[in-house]
Amino acid sequence: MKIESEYTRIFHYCLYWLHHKEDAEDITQETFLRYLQHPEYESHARQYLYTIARNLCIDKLRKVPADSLNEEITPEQNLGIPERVALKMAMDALPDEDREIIILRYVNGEKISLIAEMFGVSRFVMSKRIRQITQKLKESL
Amino acid sequence: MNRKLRKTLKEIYASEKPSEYPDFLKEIKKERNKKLFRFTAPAMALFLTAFFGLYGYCELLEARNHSIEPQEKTLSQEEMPEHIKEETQQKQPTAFSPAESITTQMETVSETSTSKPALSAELSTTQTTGFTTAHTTIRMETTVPETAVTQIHLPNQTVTETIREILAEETDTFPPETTIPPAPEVPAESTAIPEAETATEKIQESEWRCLDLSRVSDVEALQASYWELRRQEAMNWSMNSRVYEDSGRQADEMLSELTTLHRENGNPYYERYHSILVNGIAPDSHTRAYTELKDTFMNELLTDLENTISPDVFQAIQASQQDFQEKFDTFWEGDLQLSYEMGSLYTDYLEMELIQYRVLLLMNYFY
Repeated sequence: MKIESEYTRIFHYCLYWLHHKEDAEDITQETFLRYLQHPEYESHARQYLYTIARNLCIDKLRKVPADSLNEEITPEQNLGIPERVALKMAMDALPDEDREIIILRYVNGEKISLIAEMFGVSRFVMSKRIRQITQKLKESL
Repeated sequence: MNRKLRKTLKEIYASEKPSEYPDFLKEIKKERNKKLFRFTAPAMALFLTAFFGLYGYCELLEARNHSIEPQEKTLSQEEMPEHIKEETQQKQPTAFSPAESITTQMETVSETSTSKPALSAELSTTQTTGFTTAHTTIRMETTVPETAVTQIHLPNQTVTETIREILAEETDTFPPETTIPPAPEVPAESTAIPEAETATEKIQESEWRCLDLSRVSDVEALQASYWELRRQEAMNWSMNSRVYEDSGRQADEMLSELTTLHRENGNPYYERYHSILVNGIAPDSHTRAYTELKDTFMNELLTDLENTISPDVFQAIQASQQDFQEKFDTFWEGDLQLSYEMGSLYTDYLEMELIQYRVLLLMNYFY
């Protein structure tokens, strides 16, 4: 995969966490800089990148008080189309982990095996979980 | 999830792009390309060397097979011109100087041939390189009239003997870096030596543990059968399905037989394998057993194999493992409805049964 494509995926992942484009860009950059410092993880590059990005996003969210979060992007306002609004609301109703899994699988297009490793479960468990989440989303739409 | 929903999700969460891509990304790309080049360049160089070396070698063998016997066997001493007699006595034909022997012989033939002008015109082209000579010689034969052809005798020896002669003699026709060591002695009762085998390889073979490619093929066949049974079991997942029951039962029998074989034959890795399973048998520790089998134990087996068997056999084993893994990944990455219907415990056990059999097959190589 091209490096720019990898960078964009991590950026989308950070944007999902932080809801702020500039913060997401900073964290993405930081993620890749840290990845450069550890070339020994090249064989599991994608997983390593996601792990770093996730930890940095969580740290960032902990440092910033919840009420001072400056949401640059408000998808509900920008969505316009009813389907998008409905889907966004259905996604927001999901537990955080489920929502993250859907972002990884269907927005970033990551393999089930990678997501399973990130969450520490077998791929079958993850496959079933994804099915359950998508079923839940469909029912709520 | 259907395409429309996926598209909508991407529109919501992936509509933004980064403002710019930092410069250090180029550094990462360079490092990755360097690693790729480090792997592919030597492989490509080796391939090209082997290809052209083999091509040249085949050309030489072809020339050798069409070389002419010395004239002493075809013409009597009285018929042989004097200058030819002297030349053939001085120049002993060698395996790597077909140019000389053929030229000498063609000169003699040209004396007796009725189509002298055609032959002599081509003779001047014979003294270039060994390979060119081989080609020229062959073409010459097709233009020589029948009467002359019948006087040309091919060497009375088999291809294998020819190769042995070539290997036994020194030559400067080949580039120095591709000198071939002499062929080993063949006992009378043994079968013919494979053409590609050299003395060096034979010595190394005696040091490797006895394991050949046919054994790898046998193991691959077993792995493929087991995979197909489990796949049928998974595809027909339903308590009422006959295929599900039969496939599952047959696969269970294969797994049980191989486990018993290793236990009863005292496989050196059996105790370790058994303890991983025993420790991981409880539902909450299933993932631990699976991970340990797949990531730790299997890698240990492969490392031990790599250190004790010949490289080509190890490569064949690795290739078959990779092939199996790709099939498995493709199967489960697809939009498989059954994975949704299966209970998580069943799917965990199915995956576990697959990895168990793969590990047991690898253990098979340690007898």
